[in-house]
Amino acid sequence: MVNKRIYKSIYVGTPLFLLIIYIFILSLQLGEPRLDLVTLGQVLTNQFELEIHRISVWEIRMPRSIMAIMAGVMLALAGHVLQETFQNDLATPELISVTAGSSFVMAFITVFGLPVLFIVQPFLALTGGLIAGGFVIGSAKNSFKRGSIILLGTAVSAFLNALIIIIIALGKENQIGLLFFYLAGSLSARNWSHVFNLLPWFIIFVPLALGSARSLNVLRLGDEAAVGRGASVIKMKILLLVISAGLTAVVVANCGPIGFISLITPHLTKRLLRTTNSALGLPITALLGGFLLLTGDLLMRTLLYPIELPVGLLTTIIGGSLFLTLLYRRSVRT
Amino acid sequence: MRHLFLSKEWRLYVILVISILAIGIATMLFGKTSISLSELLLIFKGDEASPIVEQIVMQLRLPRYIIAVLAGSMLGLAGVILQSITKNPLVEPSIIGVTSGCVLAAILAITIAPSFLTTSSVLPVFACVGGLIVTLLVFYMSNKAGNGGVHIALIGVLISSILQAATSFILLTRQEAMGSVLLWIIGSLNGRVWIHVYIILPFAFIGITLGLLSASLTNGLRLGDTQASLLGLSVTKTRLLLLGLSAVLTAGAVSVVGAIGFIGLIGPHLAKRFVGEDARKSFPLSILISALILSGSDFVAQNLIVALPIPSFNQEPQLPAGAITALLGAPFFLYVLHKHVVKRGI
Repeated sequence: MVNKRIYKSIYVGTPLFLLIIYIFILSLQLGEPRLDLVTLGQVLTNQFELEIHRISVWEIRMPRSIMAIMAGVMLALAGHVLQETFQNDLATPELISVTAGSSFVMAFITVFGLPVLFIVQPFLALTGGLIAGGFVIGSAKNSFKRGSIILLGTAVSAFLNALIIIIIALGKENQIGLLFFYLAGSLSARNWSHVFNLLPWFIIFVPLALGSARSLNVLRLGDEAAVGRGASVIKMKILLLVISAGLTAVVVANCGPIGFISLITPHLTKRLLRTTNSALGLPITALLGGFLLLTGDLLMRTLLYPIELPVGLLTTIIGGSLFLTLLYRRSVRT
Repeated sequence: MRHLFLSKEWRLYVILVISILAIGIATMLFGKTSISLSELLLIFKGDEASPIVEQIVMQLRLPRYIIAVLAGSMLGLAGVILQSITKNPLVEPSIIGVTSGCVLAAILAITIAPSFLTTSSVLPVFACVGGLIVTLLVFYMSNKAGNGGVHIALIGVLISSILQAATSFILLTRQEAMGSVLLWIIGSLNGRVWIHVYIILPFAFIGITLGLLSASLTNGLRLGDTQASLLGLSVTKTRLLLLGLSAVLTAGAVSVVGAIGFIGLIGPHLAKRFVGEDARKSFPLSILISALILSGSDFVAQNLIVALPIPSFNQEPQLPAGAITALLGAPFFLYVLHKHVVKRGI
């Protein structure tokens, strides 16, 4: 039985991986100037003459696409870990306000021009996210498994978003781009420095998240059974919350709060694999998240060219609608 | 008469009206240019005052204040109507997504419809359609899903975030300016003048009159479906009528002040705490409290930056009143959630 499931996650995972590579190549080709495969090959091997091609592939498109994949993977994993930790498929970083907390901290730093090192910023974002998330979790008490946690999160997020709007409206940099960056999330104009800013967190937290499968499977048995197995449930949950917040905070610090990837991806994974085993689910979630965000960003920068829209809007519209349908269907059934 | 004035709700009415008027006077006096009380009196007596001061008061501050009072009243009434129909203290136009529906419809109309249809006086009609569609959708979905309480708010919140993203989408493709974005995303009274008063006025007049008249109908509904139909009330029709009315009230307000949130939450809650469930008392009280909150929030939004002169700040701040109402309303929502949901473990 277990073997069958492993095969299944390989069946699902391999095409997903190939799909990501395909879209990645596509994302290097599309845009202005548009490149055919041969030219792209020449540019990638540094044989092509035109400087503009080199810049648009190496300096603009590649870091952005890599960023999209990394951010997608991290957000999806953050969602999966959190949902399994609290056994509630509504508990995702953005719905329990981790995202809004991080976003608020970043908006504060940016608008007031605080002298904080680029490398330190994600740590502050993480602190903000943990405070906001901890507050929501703390006030949810026994309503954890239910929908009301989403409403608590909404209230806290609404409060923080109002503060973000005030900060941006007050600040000197009175620009819409900034407003949407911290409310919707965007990947536009991300370059190698952002990728390198993300990289250490990716290297540390993604393996941690993937490695948490065992703990998540134990938690799935229920708190009492988990204690029976010798696990310290509270410590475990706090650790998992920190992993999830760590994955989210650095993405928010670099791309803003991109919504619904962390909510919808774990659901899709469970539907694809038809299993709740996190050991099989987590890698698929990671791939799926990378695929979704990369594709979404490609669409948002090519469809309405030359206007470029924040990818967070697309993920919210599509992810939100999908999720609403899921929620509705399930509640009608029960 | 003496007896009447001693009754609890009348005392509250008087206190609230005086507070609203006090905010009004404060709005006229303070701002980027301060105006002395004697100058203000001169203007209202019709005497000669400095033309710039008269311009500021009559053309900028007065219409803005009137809009704040009207829009606050309308949203407060819409909120109390929704809460009475659903018997659910979490329900409010912005939480169940009606506000976002109105905004999206208005923006769509501006973008797609031919320009003669979208003069600002027709805009509320489009907003109304959007608000009605979302109202019906949310009620349909949550009714079918059962477990009204939390569910309707949950569905509303999700719908609201989807519609908001769609609104941002359109605003960004149209490359709108900051002021218009703040108006449609969070609600603002910046730059509202007499034209806007004329747009909101008929909606306010008709909506508030009908709303107050329907208070006894709402009381009938509160008896429960069987009792209400025994009284000769057609339950479904009444409910639809009231839902429609709340959508119209929301749409009228939103077309002028944008997606101001949480206003319809605090007013009804406080009103019911003061005078109980009787709609004939709680409706007017909710109207007054909400008008006070919005005009007060706008006063704060206008004067916060003047009171806090931090050098790195923008010189021409466009602080949106909607942000202030969200700062007040979100913690209040948290409190209501705690009281009605978390404690009961729903």
